[in-house]
Amino acid sequence: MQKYIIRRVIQAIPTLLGITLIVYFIMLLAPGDPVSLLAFDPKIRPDERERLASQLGVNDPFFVQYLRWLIGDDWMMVDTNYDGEADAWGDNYGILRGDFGSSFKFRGSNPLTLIGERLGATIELNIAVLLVGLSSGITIGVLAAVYRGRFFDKFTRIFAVVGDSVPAFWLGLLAIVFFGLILPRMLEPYGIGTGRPILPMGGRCPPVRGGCPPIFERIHYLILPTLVSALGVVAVWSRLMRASMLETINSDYMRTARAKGLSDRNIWVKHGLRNAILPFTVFLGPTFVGLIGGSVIIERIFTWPGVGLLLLDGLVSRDYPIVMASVVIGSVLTVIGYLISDILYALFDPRIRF
Amino acid sequence: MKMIRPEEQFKPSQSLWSRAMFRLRRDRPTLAAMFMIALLASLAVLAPLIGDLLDVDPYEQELRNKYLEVGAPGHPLGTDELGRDHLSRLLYGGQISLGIAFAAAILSLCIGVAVGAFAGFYGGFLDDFILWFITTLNSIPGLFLLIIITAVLSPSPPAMVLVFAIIGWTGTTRLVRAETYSLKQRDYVIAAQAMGASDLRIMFAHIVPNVFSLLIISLSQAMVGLILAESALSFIGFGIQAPTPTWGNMLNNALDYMRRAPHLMILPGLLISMTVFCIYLIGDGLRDAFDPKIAD
Repeated sequence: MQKYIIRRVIQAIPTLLGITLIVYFIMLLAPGDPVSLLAFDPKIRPDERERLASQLGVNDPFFVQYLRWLIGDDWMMVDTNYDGEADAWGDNYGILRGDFGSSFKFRGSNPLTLIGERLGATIELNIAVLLVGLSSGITIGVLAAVYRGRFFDKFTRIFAVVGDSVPAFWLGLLAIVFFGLILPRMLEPYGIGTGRPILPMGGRCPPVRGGCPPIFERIHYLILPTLVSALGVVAVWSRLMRASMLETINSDYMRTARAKGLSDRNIWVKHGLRNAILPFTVFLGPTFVGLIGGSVIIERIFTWPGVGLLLLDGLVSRDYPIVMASVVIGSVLTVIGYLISDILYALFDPRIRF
Repeated sequence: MKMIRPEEQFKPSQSLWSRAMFRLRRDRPTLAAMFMIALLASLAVLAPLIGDLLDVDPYEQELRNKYLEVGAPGHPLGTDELGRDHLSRLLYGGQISLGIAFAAAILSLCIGVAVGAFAGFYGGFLDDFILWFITTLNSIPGLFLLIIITAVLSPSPPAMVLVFAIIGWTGTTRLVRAETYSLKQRDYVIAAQAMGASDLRIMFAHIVPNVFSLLIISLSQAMVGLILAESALSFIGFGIQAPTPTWGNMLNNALDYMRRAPHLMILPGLLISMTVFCIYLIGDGLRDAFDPKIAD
C-alpha cells in the first residue's frame, strides 16, 4: 500500500511540470508585453525599452524564460546594470519555491499570499457543497434503488436529468431573482419580512472591518451558493448510487451472505455498503475537480471572494502573476484531488492488490 | 426442445446499425428530443429569414422601445436594454452557440480519433507521451484553462471552435485508444496485416469503423459539455464578445437588468437548458440503442 501511494505521488510530478509548461506557454501569448506593462510611460525611449527588456529577459528563448520562472535565477548571474554583462546574483526564487513574482495590481504583494487569503473561502464553500451534495445524493440514490420503479424512483430520475441540464449560472440567477425579489414581495402582505431579500444575495459575510466572523455567525451567506452548486452534485450522485446499489443488492455474494444467516447489520455494512460505496471513492476526485473549475462561475454569481473570483479579477486587470498563480494552484488542488481519490479507491477496494 | 421453423432459420441477421435504427424508431423520448433539436437548429439557421419575415434585426437599436415585454407588437419576445429584438437575438445566438458546439464537437472527435488510434496502435513511447499530455491537460480545471486562453486570445467564433477542439479531444482519445488497443489483437486485424495492409489502412479501415457507434454516443456527450462550457464562458464575460449575441453573453447582459426585464434572463437560460436536456436524452437513447447487451 505504501509503495502504491509513493508511486502515485511520484507519478504526479511530471503532470505538475506539464501543467506549469502549458500555463506558461499560454500566458506568453498574452497581449501587452511585460515591458510596456511595467513602464507605463508611452514616451519611453527605444534604448531604455531595450534595456528593460534585456533585464526582464523577454528576449531569451522560451525554455530559458520558462526555467527562470520555474526554478528562479538566484543561482546564476544576471545583468542588473544593463551593460550586456552578467554582474550580480538574480533575486527571483521561481515558482517551485513559492515565488510567483509580484502582483501588478496589489503592488508588490506575493500572489501566493493573496491566494492563501482567498483559498479558505473557496474550500469552505466547496466543502459545504460536498457535504450537502454527497449526503443528499447518496440518500436519494439508495432510496431510489430500494423503491425501484416506484414514483420516487421515476421522480428522482427526471430530477437528475433536469438537474444535470440546468447550468449552474442560470440556476444561480433564478435563485437570486426568486429569493431576492419574488419571495419577499409575496411574503410582505402577510407581514413576513420587510420586502427586503430574505437571504444574502452574495458575499461571504456582512461588510465589516477585520475579516469575516466565525462560520456559524454567517452560515446564511452559504445557503444560496451551496444549494445552487450542490444541485449538479446531487444529480450525478443520486444516479451513481442508485446504479451501484442495485448492482450490489442483486449480486450473488449478497444472497450468499443472507443464506449464511449473517446478521442484517453484517450483510448491509460489510457486504452491501462497502461495495456500493465504491463509486464514492472513484468519483470523489472528478466531483471535487468539477467543483474547483465551477467555482469561477459560482463565485462570480454570488461574489464569493474565493480563488475563482481572484482569477477573474486578475484577468480583467491583466495581473498575470496572479492569474498564473491561481491557475497553477487550482491545478495542484486538482492533482491532489485525483491522488486522494485514487488512494481511497485502493484502500476501499479489497480486489486491488499491490 | 424448440422447433425452428424454416422462415425463422433464414431470418437475415441484424447488423449493429440496423438494430440500433430499429430500436431508435420505437424510442419515443429520444425521437422527441431529436425533433426538438432539429427544430431549434433549423430555427437558428433560418434566423435571417425569420428576421425578414417579422421585420426585426438582432443589431438594430430602437431606443424608444427598450425593455418591451414578451408579446409586444412587432417584437414577439420583447426587446432588450437597447431596444434590440429579443427573438432574433435568441435565434442568432442559437446559431453561434449551437454552431460552435457542433463544429467543435466534430473537430475534437476527429483529433481524438486520430490521436487515439495512433496511440493505441503503436503504443510505446508515443502512447506514454500522449497519456502524459492528456493527464496534464485534464489536471488543469477546464474552465480555468478556457478562461485564460480566451482572455489571452479573445478569439472570434471560428477561432473559438479551434480552442474548444484543442482542449476537448482527450475524452475521445482515451476511448479510441483503449478500443484500438484491444481490437488490434483481433484475428481480422492480423489477417489484414498478413495480406500486407498498411498501418494507416488497418487503423482507419479496420479499427476505427468498429468504434463508430461509441463515437456517436461520445459526440452527444461532447456537445452537452461544449454548449455548457461556451455559455458559461460567455456568461462570465469571456468568450464571444458583444454585440455578437450568444445565449451565454445574453444572460451575462441580462444580469444588470434583472429587475426591469426578467424575460431577458429567463429565455436564454431556458434555451440552454432545453438544448442540453434534449441532447442528454438523445445520448441516453443512442447508448441504449447501440448496447448489444440489451435484448429487444
